[in-house]
Amino acid sequence: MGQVSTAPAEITRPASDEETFVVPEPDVPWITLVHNDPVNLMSYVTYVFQSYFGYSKEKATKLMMDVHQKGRAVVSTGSREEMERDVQAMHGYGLWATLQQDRK
Amino acid sequence: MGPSEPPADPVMQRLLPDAYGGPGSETGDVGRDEELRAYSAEFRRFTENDLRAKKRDDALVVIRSLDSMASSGEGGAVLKLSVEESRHWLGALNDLRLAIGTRLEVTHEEDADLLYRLPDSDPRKPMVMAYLWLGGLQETLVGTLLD
Repeated sequence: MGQVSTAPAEITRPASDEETFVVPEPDVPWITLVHNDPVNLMSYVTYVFQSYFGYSKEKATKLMMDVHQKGRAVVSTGSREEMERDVQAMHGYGLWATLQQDRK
Repeated sequence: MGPSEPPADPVMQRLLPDAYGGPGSETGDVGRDEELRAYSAEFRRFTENDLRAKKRDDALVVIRSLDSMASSGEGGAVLKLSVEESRHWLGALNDLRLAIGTRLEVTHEEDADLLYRLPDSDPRKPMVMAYLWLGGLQETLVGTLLD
């Protein structure tokens, strides 16, 4: 995520091999993932998590930092339809989001 | 029904991304990747037109509020936004920055940092200045909406 300050930011690249996408199974919940990108402001991402999901400032800030430092964060869990709705909303805000089944 | 294929332009791809797949989801399995593309295509068919309409609405609010501004006579003008207008402004500013950032090929954190050190002779400099200024504007606008 971009910052307005000139402080150097850590380079966080998503791990590429830890998740596999498998055939949907009805009992496994779905998750909405938000991925890091260097354009979205940290404050804006926090604002989106607070205003769309209704998360507390603390929770929204923690999720934002996870996105920034770990490359992505799970921002919501539920049925496939619910996660599609959340992903669509995230795209509306300009965040880079995807959904998948939650494979441990 | 909307399109099922992602847009060809990288800016439009960033504004209207795939809902399935993304970094970390590559499996090396051709059949699986094909399935993810099919899910993304289906999602896009049902949602892209609404997403485009939302972004258009945001942009139109910005244009209308700029059109309504009257000069204060000192070479400047004051614009007051309602909370609702501010939300549209935030969305539009973010879309603008995503578009410019994509054109400037800001894809890693280090790319963003390099923008601050471009020499004045660099042809990207004017767009970089706009990008950074819009970032400052968005940052301060977010600050007014956060608790």
